[in-house]
Order: sequence, then structure tokens, then C-alpha cells
Amino acid sequence: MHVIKHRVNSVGMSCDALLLAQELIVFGSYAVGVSDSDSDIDVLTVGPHTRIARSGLDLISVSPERIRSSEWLGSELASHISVYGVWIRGEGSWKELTALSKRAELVKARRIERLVSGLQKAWSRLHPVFHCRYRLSVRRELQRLDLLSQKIAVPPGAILDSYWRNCATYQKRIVELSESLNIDSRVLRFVLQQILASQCIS
Amino acid sequence: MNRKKTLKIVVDELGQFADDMDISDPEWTQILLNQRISSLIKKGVLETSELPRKLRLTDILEMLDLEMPDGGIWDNAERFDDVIRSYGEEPDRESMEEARDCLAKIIESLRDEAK
Repeated sequence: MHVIKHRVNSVGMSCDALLLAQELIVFGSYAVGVSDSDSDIDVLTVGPHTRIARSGLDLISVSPERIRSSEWLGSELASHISVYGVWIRGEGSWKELTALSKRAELVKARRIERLVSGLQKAWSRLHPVFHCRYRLSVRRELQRLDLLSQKIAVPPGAILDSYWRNCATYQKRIVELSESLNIDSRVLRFVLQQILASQCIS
Repeated sequence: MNRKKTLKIVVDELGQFADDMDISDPEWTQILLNQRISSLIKKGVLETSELPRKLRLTDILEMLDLEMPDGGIWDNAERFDDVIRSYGEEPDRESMEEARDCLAKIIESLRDEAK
């Protein structure tokens, strides 16, 4: 009962955030039509600060001041939304100004390095259900890095998965890209073996 | 497993997570949380079939089905999830500190319930 009560309150909070927003954009798998029963609806609002991550809804906000900053316009998320987002409210005049920055690529590379190094330390203590999830997560992150380095907006995960399934030379390129990262070679070998042996698609 | 025993196990696991949590490294923090969840699965507190694809601390507390009183525990769990899950951008140090504070309050509430 407490859980239900709280969920209802959360929905109210989400509604407030949506009502106050100048712009409201759906992005991710729902926007592109590749969602499944487990997908969250990803929503960006331009307006008052909000960050809500609930089952079924992932809502983030960017302030009207920040939306035109070079940091936002160069980010992975801004470029994703400018290409794949569906505007429910507002016009998104900023979307023509997005241009993936070198910083977006560096942030992604650093994230992968930390993720891989953490996984190496914790792998044996993680349940197999997480092995599967992290294989998928690391592989998708490498794919995103590959796209960011080419200044291409990153599509939703389901589309990344179809790239991976359908092209062996593409897989080889992703493996080569991972070798350029600042990751201990033993750790890298371990993770690549995990990814390439993986049947975890989603 | 009875309620008190379950609560004690959860408090121990989350306490270990809070001790190990590194606010400068969001990826490692998420891995540590998943490590504690793995331990809860191993101890029979959680079922793998119940785990949603995008796992949140709130989901874990809900799955325990402990009928915990409000006491801010849900607010803190949701705030923890909101802060720690980032879409493309990294949570800053201040946000990670807030997440750690939320976690401490959750543990305190659970510990009170376990008495």
C-alpha cells in the first residue's frame, strides 16, 4: 500500500514537471518506434530542474539557459535528441545548433575505462544475470564511442544491437576501437572475450 | 524467511554498499550495488525472475515486499535512483554525496524496522 501511495505521488510530481516545461520531447526507443514491454519512456523537458527515474518513465530536464550552452549542444544526449527526438511541445530551435564535441567522446571513453576496470574487480562476485547485462552494456558503450568519434548521433540501444548482429566487419572495428582505450591489456582481453562470447542481445 | 531476518540481511548488504561506495566513481558505485543485489539473490532474499531490466534501488525495496511505513524511505530511495542514474551525463560530486546521504537514511529506517 505504501508503495502504491508513493507511486501515485511520483506521478503527480512528474505531471507538474511536464506542465511547467517550455519544451517537452520524447526520445529513445519510444520516439523511434523500437520500444518493447521493458522500455522506459524517455522524456526531456526544457524548464525547471527535474530528475525522475521511475519504472516506466525516465524524465530529465535542462534549463532554458543551459539548452543553448556549448556544453549541452556538444553532448551525446543533445545530439541524440536533435536527430531522434519527437517534440510534443515547443519547437526546439536549438536542435540545429547541436554539434558533437570532443568532450562527449572523452567523457564516453573515460566512462568505459572506469566501467571495464570496475567489472574486472567485481566480476566473480556478480550474479550471472548481471554478467549478461554488463556484456550488453559495455558492448553498447563501445558502439556509442565509435559513433561519437565519427560525430554521429547515437541511436537507441535496439538499433545498436541490430548493427552488431548484422555485420562481422563492424564487430571487428568495435574490438579495434576498444584497444585504443586506456585499459590494462589483460582486463581488456577479459572483457572482449566476454562480449564476443556473449549471446546477450537485450 | 521471516520479515526480521530478511530486513537484517538487507541492512547488512546495504550497509556494506554504503561503506564501499565511492562518490567520485558512479560506474563503480552501480557495480557495487549490483554486487550487493547478487548477494541478496544468493541468500534467497531476491529472485532473479523478478529483476526488472533497469534495476533501481526502489525496485529492490519494492520486491522485498516488506510493507515498510512511509518514514521517508521511499522518498530517499527514489531520490537515490534519480541522482545515481544518469542519461549520458555523469552525476556530479554533489549529487553523489546526496545519494550517499539518502542511502544512509534508508539504512537507518530499515534498521529501525528490523529491531
